[in-house]
Amino acid sequence: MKYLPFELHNHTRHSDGRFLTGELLRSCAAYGYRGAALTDHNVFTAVGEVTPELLAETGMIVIPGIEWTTFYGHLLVLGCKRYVDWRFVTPDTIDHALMEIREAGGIAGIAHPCEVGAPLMCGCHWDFKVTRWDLVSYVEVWSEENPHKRTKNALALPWYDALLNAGHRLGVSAGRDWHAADSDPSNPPLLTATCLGMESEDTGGAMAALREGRSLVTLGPVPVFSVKHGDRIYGLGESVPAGEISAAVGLDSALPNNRAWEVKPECIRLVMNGRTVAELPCGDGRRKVSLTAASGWLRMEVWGTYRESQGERMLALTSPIYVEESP
Amino acid sequence: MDKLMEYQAVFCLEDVQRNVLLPFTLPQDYEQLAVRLHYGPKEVRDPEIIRPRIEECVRKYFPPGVTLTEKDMEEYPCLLNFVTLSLDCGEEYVGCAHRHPPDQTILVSEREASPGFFRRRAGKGPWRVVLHVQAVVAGTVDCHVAVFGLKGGERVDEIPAV
Repeated sequence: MKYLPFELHNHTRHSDGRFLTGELLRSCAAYGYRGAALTDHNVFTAVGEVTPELLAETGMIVIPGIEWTTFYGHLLVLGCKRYVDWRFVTPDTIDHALMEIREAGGIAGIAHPCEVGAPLMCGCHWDFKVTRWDLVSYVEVWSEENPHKRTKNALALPWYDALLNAGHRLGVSAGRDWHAADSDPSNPPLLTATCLGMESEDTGGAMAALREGRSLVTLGPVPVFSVKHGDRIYGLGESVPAGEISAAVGLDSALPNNRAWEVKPECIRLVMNGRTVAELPCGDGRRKVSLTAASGWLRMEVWGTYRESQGERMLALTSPIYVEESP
Repeated sequence: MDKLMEYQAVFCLEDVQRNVLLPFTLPQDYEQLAVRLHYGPKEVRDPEIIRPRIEECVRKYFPPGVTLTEKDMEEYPCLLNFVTLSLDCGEEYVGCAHRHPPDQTILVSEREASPGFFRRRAGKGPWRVVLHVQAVVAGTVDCHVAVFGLKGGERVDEIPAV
């Protein structure tokens, strides 16, 4: 299965972005993204400007979407077949709204959950009282470019991990929340990507990847991660029985435009239920790690440095492989 | 040109997170519908006003001991009052102007529509503007909305300011 890089959080002139829709897709393609989500605030009119000619020119896979920009949090809603009203949802009615999104064929991801709220950033902090976490597909754990410079991201990962530890199944995403073209595209900021595990290289394939937890976020190195139990191999988003497993780990690469940032992966960590259970230096090829998997979740992280990183930083992390007690 | 609806209000801190529903009726078909929105002041730059609001945000939204980074602070040279507007025709959502300029004219017709709005006929029947009071930084915000129906030959630049 191919993991392709996407930019999943973008705005155009249809809301408060400065991009024309074509400019946005061309900018994404120029940075090496294979797909993008259109997520204007509360509107999806930009989709009408995605012509077959534009798709052919850019080679982009486009996911139609909308960023529900409410008073109580921002929700990335992708792929709805009909309009679902975002305006009157309250912290106590969010479950109903999530059900409506699901019934409309859409998927929901929480944007920048730990951003500050009004009056600095109106409604940007997640204050909804979700109980139906099964209706949320992913959490944007990295928001904007250069994610380690922002407090909201330092808070978002523990927030997300707490949800995993509570037994919820949620994938990860990164989103630049991109509003305007860079002034010097030949010297971009430190970019992030969400790589999606695509069974088919089209919008449906991208939606399925997000819905089923086949995603990872990266500053360049792309984790290759699966586990084997008995004769079966399990990938991101799947459930492996608890017990003795063999994890296969390795690295591919993406985001060539981050080359100037000198992104250097140094070690791979396997994290189970919030604790590091294996650590090995990055090297060539695929390696195997034997583990005793306990009920919960397991993910791969890549750590290393980049220009201005001021020490070791997380360079990539995967959505989990879930571990279930055998019946 | 017919003025179909007009609304004026002064929003204060208690109005934040409030949706203001403004239904109106088109008594006939029009060539084009125009919604004028004005609110102000837009920016609040006085450090004595915004610093406590920023500190209040940090206390409220970040765990104890966490402070905003230099990068975070670059994003807050001033605080913005913010009112957005959405539009319905009957039961159908026509669009939203989620953008910051405090003076906007939104146009909807069968031939064209402002960014963020679907093209649709400015047809006879029930319509609705919804104001979304996103942010009142301090004090009050004056808000004024008016809806105009334009007949054939009437020009957008003839629409009165609000």
